[in-house]
Amino acid sequence: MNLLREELSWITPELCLTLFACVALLVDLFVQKGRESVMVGFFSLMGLLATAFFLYRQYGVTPPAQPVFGCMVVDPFSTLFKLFAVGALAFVVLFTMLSRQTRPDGYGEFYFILLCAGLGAFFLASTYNLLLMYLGLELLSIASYILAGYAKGNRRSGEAAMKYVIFGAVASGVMLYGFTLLYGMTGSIDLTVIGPKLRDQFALDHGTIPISVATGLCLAGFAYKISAAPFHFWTPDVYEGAPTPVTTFLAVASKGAGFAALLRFLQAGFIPDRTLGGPEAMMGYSDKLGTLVAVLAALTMTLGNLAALGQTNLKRMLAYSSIAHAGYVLMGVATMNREGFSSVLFYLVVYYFMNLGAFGVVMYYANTTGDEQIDDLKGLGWRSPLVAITMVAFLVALVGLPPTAGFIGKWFLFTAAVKKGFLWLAVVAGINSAISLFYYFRVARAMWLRPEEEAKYATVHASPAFAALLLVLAVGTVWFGVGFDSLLRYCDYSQNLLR
Amino acid sequence: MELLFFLLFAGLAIAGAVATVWMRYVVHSAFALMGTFLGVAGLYVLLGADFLAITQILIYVGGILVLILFGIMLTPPDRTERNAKRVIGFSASLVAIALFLAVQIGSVVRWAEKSNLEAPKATAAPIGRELLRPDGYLIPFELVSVVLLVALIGSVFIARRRKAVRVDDSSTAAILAERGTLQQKAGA
Amino acid sequence: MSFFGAPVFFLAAALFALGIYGFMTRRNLIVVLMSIELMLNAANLTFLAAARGTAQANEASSYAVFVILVAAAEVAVGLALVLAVFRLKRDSDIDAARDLRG
Repeated sequence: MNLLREELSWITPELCLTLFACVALLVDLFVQKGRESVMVGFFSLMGLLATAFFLYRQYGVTPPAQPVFGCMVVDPFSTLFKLFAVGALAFVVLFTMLSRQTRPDGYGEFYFILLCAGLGAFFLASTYNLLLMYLGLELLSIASYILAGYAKGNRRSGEAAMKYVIFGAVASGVMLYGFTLLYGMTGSIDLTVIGPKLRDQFALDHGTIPISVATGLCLAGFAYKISAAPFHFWTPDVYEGAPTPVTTFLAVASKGAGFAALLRFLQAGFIPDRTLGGPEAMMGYSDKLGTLVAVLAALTMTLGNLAALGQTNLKRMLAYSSIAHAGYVLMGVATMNREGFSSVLFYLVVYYFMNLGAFGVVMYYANTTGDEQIDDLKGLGWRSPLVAITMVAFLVALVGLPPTAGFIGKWFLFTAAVKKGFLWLAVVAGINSAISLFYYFRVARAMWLRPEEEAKYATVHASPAFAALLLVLAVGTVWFGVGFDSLLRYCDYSQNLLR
Repeated sequence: MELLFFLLFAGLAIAGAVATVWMRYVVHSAFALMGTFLGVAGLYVLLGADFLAITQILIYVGGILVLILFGIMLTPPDRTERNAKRVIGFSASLVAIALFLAVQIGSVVRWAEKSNLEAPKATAAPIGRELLRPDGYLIPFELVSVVLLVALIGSVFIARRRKAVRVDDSSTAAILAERGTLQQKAGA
Repeated sequence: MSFFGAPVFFLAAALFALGIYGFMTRRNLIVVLMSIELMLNAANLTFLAAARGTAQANEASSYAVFVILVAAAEVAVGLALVLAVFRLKRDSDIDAARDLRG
């Protein structure tokens, strides 16, 4: 009984999130009509706050030696990603409360599904058990399909969700088949067991083809979740068609969870413990896998950036930009070493601030004008300077220029890649960053151009709450570009997968 | 005897799958899929997984397939079905099949080693105990119940008819949709 | 009886490949969903075939049960979205032609 209580105490964040998801669903029934958005949103925020509190309490505590309930790992790595998910959810909830785009009748359902998607991200980030990983991924995916199609009546939303569900189901099916092959080869579904078993197979020189195919199938599922090439094609349509707060969720929380699972999968299954010294074959294999990821990274960022150049719709452009950023982050994954993984965590945190901010501005703009075209941003800088200034900060960070956090994040990724010997990859990424300057700059220029004719839209000031949100994100973006020491230390501490 | 049953069920599963993919009419595909499900259930019995076989029939045939049939009935017949992609798809699939068979051959070698079998026992009770044992599958079990709840609530919400269209939203949506499609045209 | 593992494995691979094939060649959304079911069935069969004859046979059965449940959830959501999209198409018939060009 005591043992059970202790194990339960490790999963309080998950329990808390589930509880408040149900509360949000029920509160909706008792709130008077017209006030659901605020009230249910308020309860969801409370739930997220409580979850963040429980997560914070796990910070610095010695993690349990054995997986909790036999399958859940509670360590600084998972805590970082859970905090990441909770933080992203909080902003998505706030955006939803302030948005006019998601205005269907079911607020309770919306917040319930949103919080459950966060629960899926929690499990995805904190397990070595392939079954639980699959279930977490499915919870996140199924909730995302529903959220993407939430703006009923809007056909683009419905079709985006349709596309998402079809490709998502196939990708997860392929990944599951890869898992079963791994199970067949090793007789276990636990990555901590699979890793050593694979090591033995490498030592016995049992042909790497079956292992490669199984790994490739698994990677397909992860690539889909983080929208990396060649499984990125759903991203622009879904991001554009989904309601903007949901797009924000997909671009930030969902992608972060995907990276968490990918890092764990690669670390436990395929990176030999260099201190113990694995068999030569496995060392070679992990390096080969790293090269494969590096090629995917180069492909992803190039495809994303080139496609972003021609976009006229702001949301679609940001979708391609988020593909490109997945490519940058994959650079760090490709190194397959400690430094690279730490830089991945750092860049994801930075990515969180700048992308939430950029999508927030898009939402503000779409709400006030019903428009998402880049050319129509003309004069925004003169009509609402605050929003435009924060947007410039986010754009500068997305390009990766100093003094923003985007620069520091990219710096770490580049150095990690170069040190590992991926000089060509760093060059490709550098060229890509230069390309990205064009399309981000186009947005900034449009905002500060004085419109020739009288402004098409009347001046609309951002509501104080919304301005505060954007300011917080912008300050974060700039702050971590200057005082990044503490964040770096935290990311290094949380990166407990590889030492 | 067992070989006979194996061939019967395997044939049923494969024939059903082929028909599902090839049949021109959706309803025919759905019924062919039932063949696959039943064949697979039969294989489960042969593999000594009686509980799974029953689950397969109850959920796949009794639940999912009925759901699919309702889906077919509630949507208008789709005349847009074309075979333009078939050639690309065919070659790609051939590659896929070849690749998979290669893997199987590679791994089957170690497969046979394990197969010294006892007589199968009833599996429902041990599986049930495993599902609710804290160190067993308690967490996945609870998680999958959340998945089902989300799917239940979400699909009811999405499939439900709209109550009323609010003027302001639909106009925003219409503007966005219109612009989007214009842009799509320009892009194409 | 030891011949079972390998043939079932081959069978599963064939089902999986057929599922992929259906996904790539068919455009009807409901048929695509059915193809995905084929793939999931293949995965379940592989689980079972892999555990055949080991002490983990029950383990594999329970994984397969979870997969079946998730498949049910996925199909429900997928079909709900299909219905929603079709309903909108019927509501605004003018746009139907443009959609088909896809």
